[in-house]
Amino acid sequence: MKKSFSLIFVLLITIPVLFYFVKFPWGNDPFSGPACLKPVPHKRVWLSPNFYDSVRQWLRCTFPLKQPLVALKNRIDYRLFSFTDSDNIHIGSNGWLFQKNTIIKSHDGNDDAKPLSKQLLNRLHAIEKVLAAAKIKFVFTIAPDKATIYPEHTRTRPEDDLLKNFLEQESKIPLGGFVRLDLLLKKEKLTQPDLYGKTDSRWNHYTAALSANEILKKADIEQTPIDVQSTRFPKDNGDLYQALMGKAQKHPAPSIRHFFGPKNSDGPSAIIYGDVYAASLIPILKKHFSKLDAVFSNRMPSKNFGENFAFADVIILECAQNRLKQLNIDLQHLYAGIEPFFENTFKRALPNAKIQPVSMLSIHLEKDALAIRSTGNKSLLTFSNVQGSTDSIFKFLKLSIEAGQSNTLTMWPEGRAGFTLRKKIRAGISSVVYPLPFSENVNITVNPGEHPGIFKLRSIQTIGFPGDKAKGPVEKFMPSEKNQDIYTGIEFVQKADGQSRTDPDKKGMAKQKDPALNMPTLWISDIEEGKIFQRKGQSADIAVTGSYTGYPGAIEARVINADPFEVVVPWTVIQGEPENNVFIGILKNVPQGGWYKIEVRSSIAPWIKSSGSNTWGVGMLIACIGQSNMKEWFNTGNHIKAHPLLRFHSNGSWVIPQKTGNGAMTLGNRLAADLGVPVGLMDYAVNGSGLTRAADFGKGFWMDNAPDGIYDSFVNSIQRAGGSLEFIIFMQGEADAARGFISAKQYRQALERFISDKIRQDIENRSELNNLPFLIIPMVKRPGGKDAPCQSIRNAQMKTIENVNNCYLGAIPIDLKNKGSQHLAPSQYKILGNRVAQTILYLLGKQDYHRGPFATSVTRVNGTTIDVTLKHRKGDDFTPTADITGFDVLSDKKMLPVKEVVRKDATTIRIKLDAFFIGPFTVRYLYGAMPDTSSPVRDNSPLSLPLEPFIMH
Amino acid sequence: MVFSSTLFLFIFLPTVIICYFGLNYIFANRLRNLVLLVFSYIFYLFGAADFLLILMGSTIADFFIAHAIHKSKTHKKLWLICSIVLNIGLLFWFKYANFMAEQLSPLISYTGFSTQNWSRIILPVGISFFTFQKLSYTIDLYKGKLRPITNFIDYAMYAAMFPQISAGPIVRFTEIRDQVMERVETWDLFYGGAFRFCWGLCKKVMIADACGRIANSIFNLSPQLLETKTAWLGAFAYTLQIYFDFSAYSDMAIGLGMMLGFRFPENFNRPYSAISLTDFWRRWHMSLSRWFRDYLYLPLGGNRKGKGRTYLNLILVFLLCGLWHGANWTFIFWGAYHGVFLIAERLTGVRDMDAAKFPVLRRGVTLLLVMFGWVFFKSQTIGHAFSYIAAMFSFNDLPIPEVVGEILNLKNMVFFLIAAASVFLPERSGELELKLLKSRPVSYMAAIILFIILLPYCVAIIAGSPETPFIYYRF
Repeated sequence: MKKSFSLIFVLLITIPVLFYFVKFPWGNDPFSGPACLKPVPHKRVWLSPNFYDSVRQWLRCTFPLKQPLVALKNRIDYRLFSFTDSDNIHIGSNGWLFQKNTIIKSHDGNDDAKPLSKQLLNRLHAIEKVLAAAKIKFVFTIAPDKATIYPEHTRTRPEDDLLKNFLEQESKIPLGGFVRLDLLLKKEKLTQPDLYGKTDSRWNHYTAALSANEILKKADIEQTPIDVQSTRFPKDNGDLYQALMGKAQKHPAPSIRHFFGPKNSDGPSAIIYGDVYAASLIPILKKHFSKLDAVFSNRMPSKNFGENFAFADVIILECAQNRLKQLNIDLQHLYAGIEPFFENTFKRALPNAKIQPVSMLSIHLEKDALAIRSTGNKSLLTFSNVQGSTDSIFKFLKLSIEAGQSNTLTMWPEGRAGFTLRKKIRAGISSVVYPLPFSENVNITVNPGEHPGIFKLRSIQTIGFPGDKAKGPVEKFMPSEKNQDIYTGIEFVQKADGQSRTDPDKKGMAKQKDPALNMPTLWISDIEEGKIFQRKGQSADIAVTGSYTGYPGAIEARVINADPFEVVVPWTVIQGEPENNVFIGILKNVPQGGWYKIEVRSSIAPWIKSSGSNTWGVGMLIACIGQSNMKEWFNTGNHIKAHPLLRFHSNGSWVIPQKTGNGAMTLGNRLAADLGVPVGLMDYAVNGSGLTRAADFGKGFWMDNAPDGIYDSFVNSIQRAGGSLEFIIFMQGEADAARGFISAKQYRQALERFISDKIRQDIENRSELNNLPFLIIPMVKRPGGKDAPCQSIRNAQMKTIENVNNCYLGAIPIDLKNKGSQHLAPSQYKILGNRVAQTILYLLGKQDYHRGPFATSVTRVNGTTIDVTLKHRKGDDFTPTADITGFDVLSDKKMLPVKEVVRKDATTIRIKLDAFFIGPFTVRYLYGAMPDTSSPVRDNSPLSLPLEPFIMH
Repeated sequence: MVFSSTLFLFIFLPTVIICYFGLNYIFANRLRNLVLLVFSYIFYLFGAADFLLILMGSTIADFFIAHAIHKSKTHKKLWLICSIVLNIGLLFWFKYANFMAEQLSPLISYTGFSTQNWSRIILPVGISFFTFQKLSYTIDLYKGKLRPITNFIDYAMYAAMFPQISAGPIVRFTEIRDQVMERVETWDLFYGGAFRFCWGLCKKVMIADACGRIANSIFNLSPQLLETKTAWLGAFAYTLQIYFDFSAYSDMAIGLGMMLGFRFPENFNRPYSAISLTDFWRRWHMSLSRWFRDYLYLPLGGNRKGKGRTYLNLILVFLLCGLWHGANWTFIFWGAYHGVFLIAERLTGVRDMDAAKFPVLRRGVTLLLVMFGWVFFKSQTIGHAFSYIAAMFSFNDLPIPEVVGEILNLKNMVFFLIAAASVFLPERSGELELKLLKSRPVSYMAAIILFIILLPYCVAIIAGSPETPFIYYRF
């Protein structure tokens, strides 16, 4: 017996190894993460803990029996303990399975649900009416969660406040195209209890068909009897049991866009937005449309797919109940897309509305516009008494606003009835539409821009959409072409004395202007401590803002050097006639240099001054983005003291560099010292972030269009810092390399799009170059024998540098030592920082080189000797002279043993092989799974720049 | 490498078994210590690759020092001191240098130097264990209790044996001398080893980790958020976790040893059935207790030099015992705490009290004292430990934190309750228990349950969950 059980034990632990050798197809997805990359053994890593960690992770990842074993464990946990480790699945009573996010709601006594549901309904009404104006039918439905239909099986379930509030609101102000499925399904459950599978996360085919029918009914489309049996539905209903067993989804989620049809050439055409529930509706819906354009996205309209609303008769929006909060309706985009097709709308000036400054801004009616001088994010004005939307007419407020520089406008209604609109406006004229909430009169608060600036409100109108409920002819109003003064009837109100600008009290004004009677007092709005304004050429225009009481006459401003005292810009009038107790003006051409302070004074009482206490500067801003190796520029090493002109911008604010950040401080210090101007480094890399969606390991990806994605956060932070930059440094790629299947071509295309379509569209270029210079630092070497997948990404990065205008090699880091992980050692960041600084100085014309030598040819000298010829860019020789590492010679796809690599002369490296070889050969330098960088070639230039990696045949 | 990992279970262990027995068969046992040595070093590479050379270097040095001790007529003591300085020096550097740098940093900065650029030293796995093991060899040799090994491979294998290099038991050379030279591998022994190994694996994966999840979720909370019941639950869960975790490791180490023909000393004997702290230390981590007794307490004079000296020796030994566990004030406090109660037991006569007197009460009190000690052991700072104990006696009425509520699911609770039930086991195996264990049907059933049901389940848990190292790995 003991022998038998001993053998059983040995067998049990040996079988998986056997499976391993026969490459049994179970195990994990080999591309499921960086840990799954196969490490390559090498003599240099045998005492490296990293290598053994890599082996351990890789074996764990590819363990042949992993899947069946995990399934076994999960099955026992499920059956025996009603328990699961899964973060996504909830086990209800009698073995019912639910998605966890449909059980644990945000309901914890907060009252967000009510305003959220109001805002959602408001936007849906806006869509419905806007689409109706273009003769497009809109149908909206919420696919109920399984937990909503079967609460009795959940064991515990707080109520979904958002849905509840939405339905309550909707019953008060009905949405014409709303298909309410929860009631329908609850009713249906009485006769047909099987609407959702016990272990499925979503409804079954029968329920999908039922729901599709309701949608068709709402879209006024004639239905045909549904034969569920003969319809081919997607096979996957979200099998939670399979997910519980740890099995990967066999049926991947549908790709983002699909076209169906023509099935019914006489039928209307439609666009459907939705999620996986929509996928199950499509088999029924597509039979009724001539064309069905399906966009599986929670964003409507999608940002990238350019769906054409003009050719759609019906727009269907489906949203799963648990994704209601994420539903993203981009009204600006939608409105702009279909505005040319509007019929039956009317435009009006605002007859009874008042525009009134609330704080920190002044308004002034000019000939062709209303000038708004805004001091920044505290500047507010209101549009009061604006007639809101009604049951019969939905209204938009449409503004046409001109800004001198890019800024962010914010609008929100009084109370929490409507939604807050934040819109980036660029230099020039922008249109902004805002859906008016359902209310007799609405007061709308506007912050024209989060940065100080002068804006011109060129027009303001309400656009009414009668929708389906309009009765009788609609009164049309258009301002005449000649008379663009659409402010007729609008009253502008002075805040301080309540005097209307259209009817000024001249006596009062005269009294006010007498300084003896009305001594002014000034308060300057100080500039953020440490802020650096991006220079344009050698200087920058600075907005100076503040408030006053009394009568100050003209406002003058000057800039002084903080220490030692020195006048940088003498007293200059920035605003001749300030109004509404605030002043704002632009102080032009403040020269770059040190740390400044701002002062303002009254022209009629010059002794009355207000001085800012914060110091700020005009200099260069450089954004640092990418993933952890870029983040480490700011977080690793504490060996350097920051230059007084260096500042970091992190989490939206300016900070004085403290002790850590070898890379950033080396870069910033050198630039500040050589250029003598303040240097701001914007710390916006995100650890673990990918470039492409496929490389999103939960840390975000840079190509993301989502409003809460890492890219938008970065752009918003740059906007907050002024919206313009002089350089961007990009160091990324590890996440994409870890995926393994992202090809060099895919990565290159994504990176090129990222630079051209995103970065250069959203950020203003203030460099001397044609485009915002984008500096790429190719990936560092990955330790533990895992460098091979990084090669393709590195190649893609180098190719991008060649392809894209004003895209440059920041520095080669592959010769630098790792800390043990894939991050560089702290001391190496100093070298890298210096190399990148050299590149920037080169681009600014302050240095005459920034790249090291490169190989021009490889020559076979004889059967055992190869010469590599170099070309120097700066130095005239290189080191080391012997024991050079990093070179591989391949012939017939096999590595030839290298005897030694030595310097032959200042431009030639000689590779001697152990054995004679014939035939074609390839020489590569710092390539392959485990490039040996222990003794690389570096030139004798002051920066000792490395020979650039190459592969030559 | 963690025993409860797929790498160990399905790659390393089968390879060891196949190579060990295969080569034994081919070379008639001549290479078995070499095979074990090679695999032990491979095992160590996966735990602390960059310290392998240190282990090898110190092993070579100790081997020659041992010979020098044996051969030298006049400088035996000097050579012993060399060995002690070498081993304790390495231990001190790797284990305590960071702690000393932190503690002495104000003093150092006063002298004009700075510890700002101090790079933290990483603790090599198992250094506390193999240092003590090697020291026992040279000290015993010095005392003349044994003769030195002539074959370096044998010695190196003894010093680096993979089953117990990471976390003990601390095996003295005298205990396995014969087995190192000559041992017999039998099916009986192999079966016993496999059984013991699987038993340890189940204890670790099912019970210790379940208790650990509960304990960690509670200890991670701020003591201010703890309500009384939760605080007690956390302390008790950790009490169970540390026992089941460490004893599981010992079971697995002993089991692995048995599979390879060794019989390592036992490390635990139902410690929570102890009726006094003195009794507890006779049952808890017995190989360490014995080491401290034989190589520190007794050489200091033990209890032979009067009461005062005995108490001093006790407190010193337990302070060092605490410090051995880790470079933190909490461990030092924990050692002192036990030392003080051991002295108190001597002073009050509890130590010598008849075991039959108030056994239930004494077991309860001892368990409580041990449990309070574990609070210090588990906490990051002494302040946290006192706050935690204050929470245990706050008798407040705060709600159970949600995070704890989630952890107290049916699965964790079942294993926790099984662990808790073990506290009520008798202090030693009863006749019925022994009889049952020896009966054929019971042992059959036990083997079937263990090998056919529990082992696959444990492996499934290991495959599907992140690795949880043993608590004593960090010592």
